[in-house]
This record gives sequence, C-alpha cells and structure tokens, in this order.
Amino acid sequence: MSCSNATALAGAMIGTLLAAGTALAAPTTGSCSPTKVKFIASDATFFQVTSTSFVNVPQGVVNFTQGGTSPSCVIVGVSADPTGVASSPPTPAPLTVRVMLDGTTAALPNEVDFSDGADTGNQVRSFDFIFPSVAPGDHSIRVQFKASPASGFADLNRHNVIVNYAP
Amino acid sequence: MIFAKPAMAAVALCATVCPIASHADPVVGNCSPARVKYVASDALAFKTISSSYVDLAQARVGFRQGGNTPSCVLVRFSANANGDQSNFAIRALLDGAEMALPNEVVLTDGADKGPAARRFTFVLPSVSPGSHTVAIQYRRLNGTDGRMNAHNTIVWFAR
Repeated sequence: MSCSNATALAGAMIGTLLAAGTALAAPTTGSCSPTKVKFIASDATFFQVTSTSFVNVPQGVVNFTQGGTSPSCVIVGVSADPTGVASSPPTPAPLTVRVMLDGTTAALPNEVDFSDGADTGNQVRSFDFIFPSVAPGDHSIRVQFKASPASGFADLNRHNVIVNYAP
Repeated sequence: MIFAKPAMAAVALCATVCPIASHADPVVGNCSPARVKYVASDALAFKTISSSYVDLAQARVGFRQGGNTPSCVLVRFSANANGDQSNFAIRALLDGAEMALPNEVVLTDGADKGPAARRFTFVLPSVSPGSHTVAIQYRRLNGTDGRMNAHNTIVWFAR
C-alpha cells in the first residue's frame, strides 16, 4: 500500500469514526410516491423578521389534500434569497427556518439555518424538508422563521415553497 | 465608444481578448422518476477531518429502479452545513463506483460563521433496472474539519 493510499485510508477511517460518533440516533427512512405538487411563489420583496421565537412567514402557506389510503411522505422544498447580518461582529446572528404541518408537527429536520448570520448580502439558500407520515386528507404546510437574539433582525426575502405529496 | 463605467469597459475588453472557454457537451435526458426513498439524519454534527472522500453517515439509500430500460435517478441532498473550519465538498456515488453529475460540488465557501441551508440535486442519467444504492460522501478541502449537521437525502427513481 502506498503512503498516499495509507494516509487516505487512515483519513477515511478517522472521518468515518467521527461521522459515526457515539450517540447517533437512528435516521428516519421511508419510501413513497409524492408526485403531486402545490407551490407558492412569494412577492419579490423583503420578508423581515424581528421575533426571536418562531412566527409565520408571510406568503409561506400551502394547503393540499394528501391522497392515497394510508399515510405517506410529504416533501417540502423551501428556497429563499435571505440575508442575516450580525449587529455585533464577529458574533453571528443566524436566521432560522422551520416547516410545520397543520400547525403542530415539525418537519425533519426540526429547524435549519437559512443564514449563518454573517452575510454581506443576499444569497440563495434552499432545503428539502421531510414529513415521513402524513395521513390522507386536507392539510396545511406553513413555513416559520425567527431572528437571532444576537441581532433581533433578519430578512428571508423572496421565497418559493414547493410541496410534493401523494396523488 | 465612451464607457460610462469602468466595469463596462472591462466587460467589453474581456469579450474581445479573453479566451473563449471550450465546454464539453452537456448531458441531457428525460425520464419519469415517480418513486422516492429517503433518509433523514439525526441532528448532530457529522464532522469529518478527512481530506479524501468518506461516507457521510445516515446518507445511504437503497432502492430498486423500475422499468425495462435504464433511466435517470435524481439525488436531492440538503444539509445545514457549516464550513467555518474548512470548505468541504460532496459527491453522490451509485453502487460505490459511479459518480453522479456533477462529480463533486463545493458545499461551503470558506466564509461561514455557522451552519446554513444548502441543497443540490445530482443526476444519474442512466441507471439500469434493479437494486442499487446511492451514498453521499464528503471531504474537507483546506482547514481542519467540516460539519454537515442535519441532512436529508432524497432519491427519485423509476416506478
């Protein structure tokens, strides 16, 4: 084995060990056929937040009727052009987003940062959230966001929400 | 011609003297990947210090490609990635050997101060019917480590 290969292998092993960690919860897996789409494309303007607890994103709601005869997955793609700026650099002030089903169930993962809080301008951020098991019938998807206490302000800006669900 | 702004002059000059990039032909196709399998990870750091590609934990999806002929598979990967200690790159591998298009992408730009949402859709243009596995791999590019944090891997394939 060459040195470079050995180094790569050692690196891979270390990386794998670190990745595996010691306290990983089991991932959530599943299969489905969410071939129907509903979406909302927002106005191309500011969507600012000053709350440091989650509040509704305006123009961020999609109502849909899950098809089928048994629960199956729903995938929610959120795309935005946000910015979050630290008021006291270098302390970052992230902009955090979550997606709620019927106002009660958070998607996986439960929340994601759409800005690291050290932006110098707007930049595209996007994420596919997963609801593993949604019962047939009428539902509502709502995107929520919050600012960091480090600044108390962020802007999600223009955003699209695309919901894939069962026909 | 009088240029109102230096930037316009630069663009015009480059259009005249800069070499024209020669692009390889793109890969094009069409397909109907109506089935989904996914894995939603735990919300921990998923840190790597490896500078060569290693498997990202909780980012492997096994699936059975349907149909009678090869067709496309789409791999939609999302992560709350943090590159404040190093840029890092990712790739999607089919059956441990075939790299999705593009072969790798840089997920972070080296100016991160914390996690932020990133999503990329990889394309496998021609996957034969039958059982397959897609795995996401990652590596650091410069600094000490990269942290993927919570990530979702969603594979769209033929019914």
